[in-house]
Amino acid sequence: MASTLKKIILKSCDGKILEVEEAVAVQSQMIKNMIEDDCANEEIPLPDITGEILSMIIEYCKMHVDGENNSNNELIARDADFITRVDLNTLYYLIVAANFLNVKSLLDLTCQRVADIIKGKSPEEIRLTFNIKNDFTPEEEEEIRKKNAWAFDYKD
Amino acid sequence: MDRLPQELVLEILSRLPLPSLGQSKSVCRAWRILIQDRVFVDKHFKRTADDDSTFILQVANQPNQNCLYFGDFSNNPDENDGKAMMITKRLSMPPILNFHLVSSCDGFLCLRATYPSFQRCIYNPFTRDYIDLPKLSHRAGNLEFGFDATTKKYKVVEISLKRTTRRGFRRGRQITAASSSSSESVVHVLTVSSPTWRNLGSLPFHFMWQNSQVLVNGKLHWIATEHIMSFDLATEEFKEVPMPDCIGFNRKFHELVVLRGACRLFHLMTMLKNGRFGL
Repeated sequence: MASTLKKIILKSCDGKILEVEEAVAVQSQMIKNMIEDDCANEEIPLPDITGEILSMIIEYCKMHVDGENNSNNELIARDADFITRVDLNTLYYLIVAANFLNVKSLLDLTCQRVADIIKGKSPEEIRLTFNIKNDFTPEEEEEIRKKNAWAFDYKD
Repeated sequence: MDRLPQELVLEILSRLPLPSLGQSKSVCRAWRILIQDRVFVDKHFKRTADDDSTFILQVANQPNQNCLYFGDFSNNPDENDGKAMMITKRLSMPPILNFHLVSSCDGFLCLRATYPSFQRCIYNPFTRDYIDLPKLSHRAGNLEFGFDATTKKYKVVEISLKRTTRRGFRRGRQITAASSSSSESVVHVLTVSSPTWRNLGSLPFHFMWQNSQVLVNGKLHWIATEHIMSFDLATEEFKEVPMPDCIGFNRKFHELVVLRGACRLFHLMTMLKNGRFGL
């Protein structure tokens, strides 16, 4: 039992210290590797992750450890509940952090969420949603549109 | 979005279905470049290969002119009350007349016009890119198309019945002129983007025409006279695939198909009685 209660100490870029059970922390492949290499006995500084984002990631990992015995459908429902509460701006930070910490299921969930937001939107709607500048000339845009005409009237 | 490193934008876009990708190309230059990159194409292909609900349909709805449709069996519970539905969308036509779809690989289509031109081409119906293949003087035969992972090139193979008979084959055993008249096939290979077909010689078999292409692990497969032959796209060599002896070989009732990434021989007579086996 002693090993499962071992705490890993994480420090966010804004100085927040979080103590996490090892079973939760090893959801991050990066931390798991550090533990295996015996490099996780002192606090682990996470230079690009804020305390707010780190708390969310720990909440997510905890949910997955606690829900290990739950059915797949229950986990999917919990994931959906978690991700739909996140705004787009936070979603970016979560993606970067999930990638850095190497939490594969969270990276999948967050990237899929952004993909779902893109799905079904016109290029103009995508630009508005994600604040992307249109750097095509009108002629270029028309040409690409023509070439991909099948995709544009797909919904009809 | 520009705060995300490119590798993560790629991670996101590779999860989009094809129609969304088609639209996303015109969002900005950076996205267009990313979507057309080979790394992206491979990633998107790998992701969708396991769970691909899309297909290309050939419909003969006009005399002598087939139409191509993109189909998707995707299940979008938000929009369709949880019911699966099929979406189809007519694709642009290639600039050749009277074509039919003979085989496909990675979404590229290999098309051949009907008699008399037998013009062959590779067509991407999504981008409308089109490559006219060099002329082949031989009459039209079994045309197949696949990707050689070792050279990263697409290759087209055409096996046609030899019209005249002669002795001394480059491959295969020596047979008499009389018996060879209907069972000798000549093999031509073309590496797509190269200007000429290469003649690989003859085989003493008659190759059955088949409905669908059987490409497994970089090898094309056909039923030939009482044999199953595989053709390795990398080494360009034919090999005989051992025939299971549990089924009598009446080739009229057999068809090779690919099921879940593996080659299967369907024995049409006993299919319903579990008369199929893997190769």
